[in-house]
Parts: sequence; structure tokens; C-alpha cells
Amino acid sequence: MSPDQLAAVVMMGILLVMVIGGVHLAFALLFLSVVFGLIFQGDMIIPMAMLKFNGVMESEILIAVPLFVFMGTILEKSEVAEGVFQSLYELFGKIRGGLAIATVVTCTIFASCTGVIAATVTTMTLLAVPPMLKRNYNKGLATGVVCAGGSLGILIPPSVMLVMYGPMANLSVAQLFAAALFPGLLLAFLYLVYIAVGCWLRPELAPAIPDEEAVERGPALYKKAAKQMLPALFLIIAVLGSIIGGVASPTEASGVGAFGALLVAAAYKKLTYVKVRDAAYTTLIVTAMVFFIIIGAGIFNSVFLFLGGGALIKSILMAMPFGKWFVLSVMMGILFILGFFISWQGLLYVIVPIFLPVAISLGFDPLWFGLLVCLNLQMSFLTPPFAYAIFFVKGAAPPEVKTTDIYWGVIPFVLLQALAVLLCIVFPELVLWLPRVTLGA
Amino acid sequence: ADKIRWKGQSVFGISSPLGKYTIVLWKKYVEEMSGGRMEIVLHDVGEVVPGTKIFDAVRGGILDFGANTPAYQKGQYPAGDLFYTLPGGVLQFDDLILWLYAGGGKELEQEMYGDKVIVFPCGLTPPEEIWSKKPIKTLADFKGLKIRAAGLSMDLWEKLGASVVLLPGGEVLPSLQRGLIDATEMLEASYDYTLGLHEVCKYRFGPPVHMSNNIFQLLIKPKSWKALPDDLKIIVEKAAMVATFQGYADFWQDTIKFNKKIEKYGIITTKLSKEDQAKTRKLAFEILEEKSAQDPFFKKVWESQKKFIADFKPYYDLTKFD
Amino acid sequence: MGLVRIIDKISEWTGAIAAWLVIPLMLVVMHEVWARHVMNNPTGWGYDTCWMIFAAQFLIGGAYTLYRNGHIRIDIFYHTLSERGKLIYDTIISLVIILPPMILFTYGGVIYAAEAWISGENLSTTNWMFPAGPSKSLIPIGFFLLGLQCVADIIRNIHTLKKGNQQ
Ligand code: NA
Ligand code: NA
Repeated sequence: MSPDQLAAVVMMGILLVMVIGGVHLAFALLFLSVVFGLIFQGDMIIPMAMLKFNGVMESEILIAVPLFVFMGTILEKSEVAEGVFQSLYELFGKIRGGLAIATVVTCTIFASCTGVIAATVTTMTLLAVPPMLKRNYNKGLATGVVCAGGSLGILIPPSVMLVMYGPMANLSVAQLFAAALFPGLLLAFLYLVYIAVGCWLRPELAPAIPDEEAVERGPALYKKAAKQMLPALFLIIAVLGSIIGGVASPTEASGVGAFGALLVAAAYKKLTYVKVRDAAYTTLIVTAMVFFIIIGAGIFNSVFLFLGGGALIKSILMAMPFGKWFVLSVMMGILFILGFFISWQGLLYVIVPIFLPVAISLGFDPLWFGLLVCLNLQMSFLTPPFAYAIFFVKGAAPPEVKTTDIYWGVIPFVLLQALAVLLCIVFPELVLWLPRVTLGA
Repeated sequence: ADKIRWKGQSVFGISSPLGKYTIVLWKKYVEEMSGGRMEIVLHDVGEVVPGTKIFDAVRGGILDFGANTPAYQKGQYPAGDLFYTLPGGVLQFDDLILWLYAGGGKELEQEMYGDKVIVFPCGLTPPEEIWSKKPIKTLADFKGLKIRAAGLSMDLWEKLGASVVLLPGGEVLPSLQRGLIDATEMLEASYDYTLGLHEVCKYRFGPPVHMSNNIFQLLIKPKSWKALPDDLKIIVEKAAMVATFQGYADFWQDTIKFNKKIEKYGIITTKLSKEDQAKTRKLAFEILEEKSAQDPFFKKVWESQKKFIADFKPYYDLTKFD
Repeated sequence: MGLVRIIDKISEWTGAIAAWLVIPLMLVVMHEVWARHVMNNPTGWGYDTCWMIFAAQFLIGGAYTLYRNGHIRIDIFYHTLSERGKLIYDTIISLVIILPPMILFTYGGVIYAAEAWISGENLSTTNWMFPAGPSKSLIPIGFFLLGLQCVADIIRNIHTLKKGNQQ
């Protein structure tokens, strides 16, 4: 280990201490990048940071984040979202966990529209978490569902991660998209089963509608629900449908969606200056929070890799013992554990060049292996302390939600994700069937 | 003597053909030819700075060297495109490289950057193809075609009546799948196949009217360059040239292999007629003249290229089989 | 405390500007959709304008977000501190961890933006050829405002601590 690499390890260690110690994640990342950069790279770190910042600013794909957040906050502040979830709550009636189920379904649809996790997680936090908390859902369940559901977007195509993975591993992105669809849907299905069973076993997690609230039944209920839900549902279907149908790119759809949200709010006569202003301010705070983390993580990753932290991890992995299925489990285990501390981009740079040749020489199908890697990386969004999904939910959720609530909340979902990895290992056809049938891979 | 250690970054993924047949080969040759006196630490794209900011990073001294494409600095150096590729079949790849190495090109390229960075050509790709979901037989088929494009070719597509869409590379495949765009240029057969373009497009056509090829750059921080002993300077420069030609030949092997796969897959391949090609060439000349009027250095480079074409063409036409 | 009030006001004003930027951002995206899909004639300026508005939003809004305590932090350890402990802890974080990088990034950003203004360089993202100076200037502006708000927080905390001592 060179002195530089030792520094990279120390830097990562201090980051963890600082983050757990309650320093703002964005500022801890910026601070450590500057300190270690100044020591090991000299004053070059400052212009390097400028280039990184400018790179984030110019990324067109991220513009969808503020606009989707604005759409979400308008629907939230104008109580349109509340109305939708109230109707769902009444419609689900005695089925426990109904709102959580509705959240997973919405997340799954959202996931097939965009691969930008920050957009899905923050929007769904704004839309779904307050209504669930209002109905006495367990805080962990309410936030865990959004963390897990919101992260589906990195797996269910389109996905930024798969687009990056393809060229790195010499795999067709079209095939990766096809291969990821069933594992993604499998995850969504596992979440749904867990919610239904979990809430049935432990009713206090997600109370069903009390008898005194369930006054309306039959046609009257349906009519009221239709009035409360249809405009907002129409908006969401139009926005997401226009992406899936090829009419609009995610960025375009986010702009139209924001405008549509204003129209829907106006249709319910809930559109006031104060509400638009509040929505604009909430959008600002959520957006700035997310992007200062993104620029902080960007420059931190650069310094870490510049110091040779990536090369160090590589050399540690190279020293692992062999044996086909053992090596596979070791590789999966390493990915899982590193995922607690490193962002998925960092993992992708480090892991693919190392693991892939090993996996291929052991005779594993590269496409199948690629999906296992991506499934595994998806867990890193939920595994603390370095977990994007948790950060974004925490930043957008009502203040009564504590970080520890989210930590407890994501545990079952991480276990379900691990189960999905296992299922894909045992039943490779989950991954390989669709690309073979549709693309003849 | 102490080992000289350079840190730098690639502009493309180092495990993709754009990395492994260009800057990765250069690294290998420098380390071998210098007998281990130089160590090249090559970071992958995005590891230190974003791929679009390599020039600024080398100029600013953050990196000792960087692989680069001038397309990412067209706002600072509009003439950069001329060292990289020209639209409409004006100076095709084999001709452009002749101009670059011996027709005054590389001197002009260095002149463009002044003393900000040292530049050498490094990396050459096989010619590109164009993919489409709609059949393209004549120029008339471009009318209303939604195509993803970048660089000088954007003006050409617009002149041909196509509707140009700017998309980041990662968005191209999903956009084709959904029908947001009808057609795209990406790279040569092996890269396009790997991306899966054959799985979403039924057609491809040539010749590549938008650009012939890609010639990339090796940028070096002036201070690091001056600190090199003379023999290592020669090695660094010549290694870039060897990497360019060896990488080009190696890259072609991939292109050949994957072109067979594309043909076997049943993609319908068409080619524009000679008349249509001549039309696009004429449009390309118009565009290049327009750009020359806007930027004096662009004009200077383009004049040099025009002179080269004029000198080169008679003997080229005499010896070329049609 | 006069200075603190002025800085808070600055953050409120810049926050208001940044917050309302979401409306022009939305309108420009809408206009792009209209121009591209309905008129089949996309603009040359839409793409760059979008990302510049969006960059202005989050960079200029960083200070307001700090003012409103919107930058997220993990509260497990922090919550065990007393009110006074929290104030001291926050002051140290602001002074040691947040402020110094802001000063350096402001300084570096001024140089970075000045180069673009002086050389008259244009954006390289599209063929629009808009000057790169304005967007690059957002970096020093954003970090300067953040640093300023950080100073206000430090003064406010120290003031509150002193008041606590006197009582
Ligand atoms: Na997705
Ligand atoms: Na994690």
C-alpha cells in the first residue's frame, strides 16, 4: 500500500466518522476532498473541483430532478396527492398496507420512465410519505417503501447504471435492459408480498381504515374516489405514458408534468399564490440538498480514485482464493459490504474490470453475471451509512422522521433484495429468458 | 535515474474500444519503449475530471496528460473539429491523417492551442455507419427524420431537412426504443453492435455523410513535457503515432468481425447514390465556408486543407479504382 | 447582530430568486417540447438555457438551503447533545468544516469564471455558441453566498451562547 493509497483509506474512514457524527453529508464530502486534495495534489484540487462542478451543471439528464420535484410538491401542497391517497385508503378499506402497496406500484411505473433515482425517490417521498404518516403507518415502513421502491428505477429500464455497465463489460445495453426487466419486476413483487404479509401479521405497521371512517360504500365511494383521483391519475399516466410511448424524453415530460400539476391543482380550485410559492421553495431546498451531495460525492470520488483508492481495492480482491461458486459468493459478498461505504459509481469503476474476467473464466454467463452485479449495486442505495436513497428520503420527508426510523425501515427491503439476488442465481432464466426470446441473445 | 511517473485520464472508457485501441496502447508503448523509465498512470473517464473537461484539466496542470477529442472544446476552439473529422466525405480518414502528419496539420493543431498544451494526434477509428428505424434510400428520406447528432454534422443534417436531437450517449438507445428519435450515428460496427443498435433499428446506411472517422488527441501538460529528457520526448511522441496506426488496424479487426454479425442478424444495409453523396459534399463545403467566415483560425485551417485537397486530388483520382 | 440580519436577508432574497427559477425552467422545457414536437423545429438555445437555469437554481439556492437547515445530516449522534452542546457543535462544524472549502471554492471560482470572461470562450455543449462566462460565474456566486450564510450562522450561534452564559 502506497502512502497515497493509505490516505485514500483514511479519507474514507474519516468520512464515515463525520457522517455518523452528524456533519452534513455534502459539506463533509467537500471538506475532505479539499483537505486531502491540498495535501496530496496541492492547489490543483481547486481547479479540479471547478471542472467537476461544471460537469454536473451541464448534465442535461439531471434537469428532470427539480421539475419532477416541483410536480410532486405542487400535488402535495395543493392536497391533490392527499386526496388521491385518501381515496386509495378508502378503496383499499380493510386491506392493511394499502397505501404502501399503492406506493410500490407507483414507484414501479415511475421506474420504467426514468433511471434518475434522485427524481423518483424525492418525488415519491413528497407524495406518499406524508399521507402514510397521517394514517399512522409505521415510519420505518413508510420511508422504507419509498427507499426501496424509488431505487427500482436503477434496475427497471431505462437505467443509467445499465447504460454505463454495457460498454464497460462489452454487453449490449438493449440486452441488459431486457435482462433487467424481470428481476426488477420480481423485486417489486417481493415488496408487495412482504407488505401484504407483514401488515397482516403485524397490523400496527399499517392500520386499516377504522370503521367510523368507512362510512361510504359502493357507488357513492367509487364516485367520490373517481372525482378525487382521476385528474391526478390522468396527469401521472399522461406524463409517464408520454415517456414510455416515445413522445417525450424524461426531461421534457418533467416540464410538462410540472405544468400539468399546476393545471390539476387549478381544476380542484386549490391553486393559490401561497401554495405555488411554498412548492417553489420546497423544490429549491430539495434540489439544492440533492445537488450539493452530487457535486460533493463527485469530487470526493475523484480524489479517492486519484489517490489510488480504486487500485488498492483491486489488489485486495485479486488476492482472493478460487473455486467457482465460492468465488461468486465472495464477489457478491464483497460488493454488498463495499456498498455500505461507496457509491455505486465507485463500485462500478472498481468492480467490473476486476470481477468480470474472473466470472467469465469461471464459465458464468456475462449477461447473467452483469445483472447480479447490478442487482447487488441496487442494495447500496439502501445500505447505510452511505445510502443515496436514505439521504434523499431524509431530506424530503417531514421532520418527525428520524434517520434511525429509515435505517430500521430499509432492513426488510435489503433482505428482500438479497433474496432476489439469490433467486436470480438459482433460477438464471429469470434474467436470461426475456433477452433470448425478444432479442435472440 | 528516478522513474518518471505521469498521471492522466482517458476521455472514453478504457475497457471500451475507444480507450483500448487508443490511449491504452499509447501507455503500453511508452512503458515498453522507455524500458520502464516511464510509468503511465491512466485513470478511466470521469475518475478525475469529467470527460468533457480533459483539455481544461491538462491546461490547468491537474493531469500530466489526457486523451481528448476536440469536439468537447468547440466553444473555445471552433477549428478543433477540422482536426477530428469533416462532414460530407470532405477529407476522408486516410486523407485527413496524411494532411495531419505531413501536410501541415499537426503544426496547425499545435498552433491552435499555443503554449497551453502540447498536442499529438493519438487514436483513429474505423469509419462510421448510420442507423435508422426507417429505410433511407435517397436524401429525400431525411425530410423530417428525427436524428441524434453532434458537432459539425448538426448543420448538415438540418440542411438535409432532418430534425436534429441532442442526446447524451446513454439516452440514445432508450430514445430509439421509444421512438423519440428515428435514427442515430454512434460509431463503427463493433461499438454499435455492443450498444445493441441492431436490436432496435432495422436499417443502416452509408457512407457516413455526417463524419468520416474520429481522430483523437494526446494532450500533454507543457511543464511535464519540458521536464522530459529528449529521448523520452521522442518516445512519447512516436508511441502516440504507433498507437494510432496499430490501434486503427486492431480496431478494424473488431469492425470486420462485428460487421459480419450485423449482416448475419439481417439488418438491411443501403448506400446513398453517387449523386446524393456529391450533394452532401457540396453542402459540407458550404458549411465549412460559413464557419470560416465566423472564425479566422477556422479559415486558416480550412484553407490549408483545401490546398491539400487540390494538390492531392489529381494523383489520387489517377490512382484510385472507381 | 446587524450583520447577521443583513446576511439572512441576502439569503432570503437570493433564495427567492432561486426558488422562482423553477417557473422559467418549466416554461423553457415546455417551449422546447412545443417547438420540437408540434412545430418540428427545435430551438438552438433551449438545451443550454435549461441547464443554465437549473444550475443557477441549485447553486444560488445553496445558501438559502443552509439558512433553512435543508442540507441533510444524520441525526443519531447529534440528537444526544444538549441544546448548548448542539450550538457549540454546530459552530465548530460551520467554522472548521463548512467555511474553509467555501472560501477556497469562491476564490477558485472567481479565477475559473474570470478566465472564461477574459478569453471570451463559448459553451461547447451545443452549437449555440453562447458565452461560457455567465454559467461559470454561478460557481463563485453560489459558494460565496454559502460562505456568507455560514458566517452569519457562526455569529448567531456565538451570540446565543454568550447570552446563555450571562443568564
Ligand atoms: Na428506470
Ligand atoms: Na450504501
